Amino acid sequence: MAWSLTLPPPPSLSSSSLPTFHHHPSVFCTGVAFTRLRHRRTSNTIFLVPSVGKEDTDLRVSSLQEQQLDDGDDDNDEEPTPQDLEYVAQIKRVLELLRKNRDMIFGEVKLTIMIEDAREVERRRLLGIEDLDGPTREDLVDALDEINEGKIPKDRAALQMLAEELASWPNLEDALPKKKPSKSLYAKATDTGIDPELAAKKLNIDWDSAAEIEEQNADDETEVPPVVGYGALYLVSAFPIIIGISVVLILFYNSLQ
Amino acid sequence: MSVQSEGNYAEALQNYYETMRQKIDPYDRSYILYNIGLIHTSNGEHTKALKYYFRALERNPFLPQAFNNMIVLCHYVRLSPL
Repeated sequence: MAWSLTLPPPPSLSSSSLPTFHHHPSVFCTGVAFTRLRHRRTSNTIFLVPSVGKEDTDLRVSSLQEQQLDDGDDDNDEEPTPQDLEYVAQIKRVLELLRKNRDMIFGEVKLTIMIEDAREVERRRLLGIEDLDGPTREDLVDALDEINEGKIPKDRAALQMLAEELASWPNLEDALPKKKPSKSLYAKATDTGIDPELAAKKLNIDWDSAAEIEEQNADDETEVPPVVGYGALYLVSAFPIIIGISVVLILFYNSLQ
Repeated sequence: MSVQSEGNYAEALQNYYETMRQKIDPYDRSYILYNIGLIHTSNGEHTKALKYYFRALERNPFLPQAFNNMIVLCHYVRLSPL
């Protein structure tokens, strides 16, 4: 928008009693710098227009550069490599196997991955080889969440590390054996703060029945016939008798000679 | 669990990690998750502890101490109920 400034007539036209106007080379209005454009004397008018400075040009160029960088980042994020897709497929296969063969839900896998080796972290800190840019256990869990949601993790290093860790999961193909309910060693050793028997009596319910299942008889658990089991015992017990008989026979033979 | 009772939480966590990767009964797994939650509670990692307690109770609702610990942690950290 142009601003116009009207100048007074030449001194020859004005009387001596009128005050004269003195203008400055530049005029500042509301913080905007205007550049004076001079026209011919006939119009006696000067137009001021806002100038396009170098800063505006620089800002425009920098914004274009940022836009190009953003486009580049988006292209990188939206183009997973075949290796990344292979990692994702591998991770999904492992999750399916864990769910099918071990009845391990996704939440349990997450919590397992979340377990961090504090000794390794402390060792790295003491040795000064702590990798601040490397993926942490939380990064692996975040990557696992993204895969579960059907996305490709942006952190490629975490994706690779996660795939390698899940691939090293032992005995994935083996199903969980279906055994009879038995007394749980973990239940026996874990202090849950309440005596199950006492709680069951007070509440008159079958409290934590799995922990109270009696141990199976030894006879039921034996998989070999008794003869084989006791054979070794008889053989060990027979050694002294055999030795005694041998000694007697040797002495008798010597006496005959 | 003996290592945990001795206070060597780092070694106990690593042992639990290896055990969770093995073939283990889901019922036993609930007790492992509960014990891991106890370790995180002792270390002051309350959010992590809550996660482990929650998963342990999903598998085995007969863990009253886990319920108690969750309530105490929620009260302590002023978190909303899960």
